[in-house]
Amino acid sequence: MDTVIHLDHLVKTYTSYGRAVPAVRDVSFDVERGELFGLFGSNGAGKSTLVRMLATLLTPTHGRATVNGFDIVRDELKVRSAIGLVASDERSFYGRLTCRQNLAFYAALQNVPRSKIAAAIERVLDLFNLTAKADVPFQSLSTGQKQRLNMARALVHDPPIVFLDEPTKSMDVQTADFVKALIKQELVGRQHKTIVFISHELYEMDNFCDRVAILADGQLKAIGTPQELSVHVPRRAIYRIEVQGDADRIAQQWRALSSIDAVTEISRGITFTAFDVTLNAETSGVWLQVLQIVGECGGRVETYRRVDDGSLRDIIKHFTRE
Amino acid sequence: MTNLKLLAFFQHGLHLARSYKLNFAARYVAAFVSVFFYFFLAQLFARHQVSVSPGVDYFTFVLIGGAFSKYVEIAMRTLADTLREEMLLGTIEPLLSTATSTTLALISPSLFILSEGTLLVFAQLIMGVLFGADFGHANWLSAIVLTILLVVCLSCLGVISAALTLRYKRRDPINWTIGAISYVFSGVFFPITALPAAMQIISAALPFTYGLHGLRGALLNGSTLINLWPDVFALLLFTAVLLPLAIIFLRGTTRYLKQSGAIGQY
Amino acid sequence: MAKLSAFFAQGWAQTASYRLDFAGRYLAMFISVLFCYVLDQLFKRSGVQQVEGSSYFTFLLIGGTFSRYLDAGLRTFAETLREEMLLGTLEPLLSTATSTRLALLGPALFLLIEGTLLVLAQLILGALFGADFSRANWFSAAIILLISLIGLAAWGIVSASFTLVFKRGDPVIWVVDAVAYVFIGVWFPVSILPPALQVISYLLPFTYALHGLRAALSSGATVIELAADLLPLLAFTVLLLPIAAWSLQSAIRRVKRSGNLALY
Repeated sequence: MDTVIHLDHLVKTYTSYGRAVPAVRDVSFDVERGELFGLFGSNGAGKSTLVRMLATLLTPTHGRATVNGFDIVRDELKVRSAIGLVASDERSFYGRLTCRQNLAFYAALQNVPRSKIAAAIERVLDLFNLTAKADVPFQSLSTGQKQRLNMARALVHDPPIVFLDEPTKSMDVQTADFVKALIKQELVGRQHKTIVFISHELYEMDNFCDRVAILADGQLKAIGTPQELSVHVPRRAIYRIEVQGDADRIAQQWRALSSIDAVTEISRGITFTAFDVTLNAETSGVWLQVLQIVGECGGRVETYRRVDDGSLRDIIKHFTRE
Repeated sequence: MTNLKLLAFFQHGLHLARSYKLNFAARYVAAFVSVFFYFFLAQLFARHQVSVSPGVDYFTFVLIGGAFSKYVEIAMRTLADTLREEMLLGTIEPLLSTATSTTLALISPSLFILSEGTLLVFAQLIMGVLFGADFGHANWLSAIVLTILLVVCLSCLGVISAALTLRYKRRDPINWTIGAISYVFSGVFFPITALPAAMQIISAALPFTYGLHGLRGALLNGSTLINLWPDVFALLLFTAVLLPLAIIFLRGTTRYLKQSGAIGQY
Repeated sequence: MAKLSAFFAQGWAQTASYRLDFAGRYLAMFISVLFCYVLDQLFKRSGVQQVEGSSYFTFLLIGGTFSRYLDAGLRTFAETLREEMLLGTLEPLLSTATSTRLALLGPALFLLIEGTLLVLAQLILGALFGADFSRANWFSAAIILLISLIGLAAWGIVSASFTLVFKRGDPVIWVVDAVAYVFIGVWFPVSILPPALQVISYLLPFTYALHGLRAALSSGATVIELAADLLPLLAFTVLLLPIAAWSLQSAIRRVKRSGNLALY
């Protein structure tokens, strides 16, 4: 395997009004070439600080890191020419200039040779479906288009590594799906770029990232494939079940089952009673027992649905709970 | 590569200027109106037979002062304002994450501004001639050399003020004050000898005083560089002191921004 | 009223948080008084004692002070608006339960009041430097300043509307500023201008305001004696107010229709 991003005990402490505010505390991990790497954490977990350090916009307080083999402090120019950064502020363009003019400016600053700038711009505009908007001033684009131009800017010099700081933040579902498919199939699948994808939304990472690092409170809590991470977590599932019939008796019998951890009454109506039932193992056998009890008590299951999302959320809850 | 980038910055400046056409035009209108203003102020002087120094036409005198003070304005305001605007727009972070050295990225916007400013200075001088300014004795070679020395020296101040703006996030009041001080103490409207002796010390501390004195010598009396050596020497001395200071300030500010994470915040 | 005081408090907090800026403004004022003083010395040296009925220093001081007032009035609205647009604070402001007009103009309130204070401070400083206000009729001066303020605010609103629609207000402000310096007689009496250009001066309301202010402060003209200046000033102001209201309204309408409120 070929490591392209290497973090070695990276620490960042801000000073605010004379007080030290730790933002990233001693984080180490590696990202391999061609990986779609997810960085997850809630707001303020230190994700953006971490990425800004890797993009050489911030100097680490301690520790070191390399990107594409270059030290982020000593070789910052080499690092910068190997990366594309999509920051989450989609306003960050010159509003009165056209998309093409904006991109041409950044392409020149990214060392794209003069003769190749026009072609590079066409390539990224085409990639993000923005060709029709090429000669339109940036300020007249929609928010989703601005976000896509933001990504186009990060790719105009064809960098091997791309940092995406919440790129889908203000996109509608279709655009977000389009962009994610593009990342996975085109950028990672065909062009073999390394992508670091930052998000505070879980659903974005599941079935998308190859590996996920979980940051909380500036610390690395866990890292691995979604499957690897799930091994560490006791398998549990919570279902909301609405029943008709003698609710108290049903609940009492459920509680007696060894495969059920908890039964919580959520609401009681005239005909239905809703429970949240926590299963400690999710097998068809357990389900059968749950339904059997309802039947034995002369009741009927009206609706049921899973209320936890089972996968990454549990994992993260598990790792960030302190 | 650096040349190409400078070119990109220049083109970028041109694109931006073209996108604000009205603004562009207004700058020239304002410059022309100020020539008007100098002309009528000179009329007032003539009416009351006030003269600044024997044999010198006040209109030409104040025209030179006013036109070249454009460079002070650029150094003390325009560059800092441009960077401030980039911070507000959020374009400074993408700029600094490109494969362009931080120093180059921060000072290159001044390239276009300076070129355009020079054009404006020329336009004012030419318009002055149409209004009767007398450059009959001018030594243009001296004038050009002095302009270059002045621009280099003021650019150092400009970098310092831009660094302060980046550091403190607000259009720097100090720049503003220094700008105002320059107008009064470097002799834009009157020879510094009109100032009380104690205040001429302040004049002596301003590079623009020497630049202006030298430029007036070259343009009004046709002085050669040899005649003007005290002014040339003073400008070189200022540059020798300010240049390392400018570098230290810029480095310090970049380091601060990278450590505090304040680049993107506003 | 509560909202006006909220705007005022916000303006004060904003200013107080930039102390250096605040101090810079007053220092600049000191320097400009000094500037007038030195220019006057140049005149005194050539034996000129009077320009238009007072010393050139008093003439310049009043002119300079008034032009500062003019500048504050003209710039303040447009500049604060532009800053809010850039910061993106304009949209949240406009989405509060405050009328669009108040929201747009409120932020400038504090700066206008501070501008008036600066005018007073500059006159006092000028007196210390030897400006002669011994015959001043302060009542007339106050009346003129008050009407000018209303007129200026109207001007300011027009330029703010311009900023809203065109996203950049400065071009117009620059030109008006530059024109004002030449034509309203800040530095030299209007009579210096060729008659053809004096026509422009007499089309500008602030020519009358400045002329009247000088008469009130240096020769103690009463309100009745100032009628010739006050009437045109008043007429301009009355004319300008509906124009200001109309331009603000149509700017808001235009911006709301095109939807580009937070642009830059």
